[in-house]
Amino acid sequence: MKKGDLILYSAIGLVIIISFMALPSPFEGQGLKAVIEVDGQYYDEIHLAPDMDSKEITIQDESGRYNVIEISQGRVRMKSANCPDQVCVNTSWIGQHGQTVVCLPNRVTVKLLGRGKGEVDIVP
Amino acid sequence: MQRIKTCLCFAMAVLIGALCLLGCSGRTEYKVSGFMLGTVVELTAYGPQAEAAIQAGMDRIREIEELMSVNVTESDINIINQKAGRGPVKVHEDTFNVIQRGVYYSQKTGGAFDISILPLVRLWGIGTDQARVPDEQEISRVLPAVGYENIALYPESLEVELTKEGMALDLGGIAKGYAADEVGRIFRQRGIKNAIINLGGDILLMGSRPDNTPWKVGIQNPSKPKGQYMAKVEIENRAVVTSGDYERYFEQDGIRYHHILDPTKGYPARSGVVSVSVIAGRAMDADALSTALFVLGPDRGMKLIEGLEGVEAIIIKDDKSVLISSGLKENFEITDKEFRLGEEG
Repeated sequence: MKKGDLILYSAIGLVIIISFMALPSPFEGQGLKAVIEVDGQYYDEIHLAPDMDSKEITIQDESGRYNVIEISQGRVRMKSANCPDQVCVNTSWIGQHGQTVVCLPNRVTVKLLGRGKGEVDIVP
Repeated sequence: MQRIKTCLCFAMAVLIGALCLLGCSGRTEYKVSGFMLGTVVELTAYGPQAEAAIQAGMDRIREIEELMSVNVTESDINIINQKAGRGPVKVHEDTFNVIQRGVYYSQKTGGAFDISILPLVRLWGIGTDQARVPDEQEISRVLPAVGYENIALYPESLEVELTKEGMALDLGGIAKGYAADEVGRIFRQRGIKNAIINLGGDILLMGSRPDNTPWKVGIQNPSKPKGQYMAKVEIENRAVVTSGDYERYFEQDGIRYHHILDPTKGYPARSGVVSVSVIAGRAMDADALSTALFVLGPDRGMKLIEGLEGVEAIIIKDDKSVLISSGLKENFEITDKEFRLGEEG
């Protein structure tokens, strides 16, 4: 009987552990989100869905620098910006985990983060 | 009754142990980003000392910026450039060391990488609102002012001299790498074992992932948005730097003019290469070499890499073939079928 108890309780313990491991973390499974940073600081984030309404976010600073971010059908792009190189605008739409639009002159970045972690840690 | 209690205790202990393990397996990650040295800086470190270490790292990058950025009026670099052709300038030891290493790589690559390229960079203005294609006369007028052989170094007095008028240094191709290495040094001193130090694509990976598996690095797909990769490579304790023609450029009459200028010709390098990634022990070395390889092209570039110990390279050519150096055969994998492994030479 005592051996049986031990096995029973160990089994219960094990089941609990396994269920903890198998359960997704509350931060996963919410699809894709766009994280906007300005000057290296968190600015805003928007959850993306294919059926969402289109939306524009305008970021402007005192010196007149501006970036217009457009969100539509689960994708994001830099619609316009008054930076000199226009690299951000030319990047066009992004819609996958890990993709980033960077406007170096105006110090604005939009990064897409998806379910859990991506397969790679970083892309130089 | 006693036994049930014992068993219950045992089960509880197992459960608590497991929860603890789960909690600790995701060891404290700390991440800070900012804009310095003209780029996005992102430091990620793991462990209890991470927060203080990252703060110290960010401070160090700011110090380096003050010394070496052309956008800081009183930087060593600006003072050297202002005194071009008019005698030596005493600089900070850090600045001296970076310039010395820059000259070393300028020599090693036969001038394919040249830290005295600033007059040419200014002429093209790529990345500014004055970007344009200069005419040939303008280029031939500026070219004589480009040449690392006219940089005189005086190690004893920590003085640097640009011996020709009109010369100007640009540490943009090496200072970010140096800063990444310095952050790495500070992290090590503070007991950090796992970290990702990212200065706008100049990346130093310390140790391994916190779970002791190697870091997985994606190689940017040159024709897709930033962050989308076409291959991956597993590395530990190394630096990776990529130079690509898609990073900064402007277009005129349907032709793309990118920011990697050939210091001897005066035009954006056209070597059949669209991107070069270099893996080395130090980010500063990877930084200088990735630029040099882009200019040298696939054949001469790979030859240079194979002659250097502990340095590897991935070259993507404009026909979507990919060349890798001999040390990468085991841990490199193409993940996008549009690309294929090409033959060397």
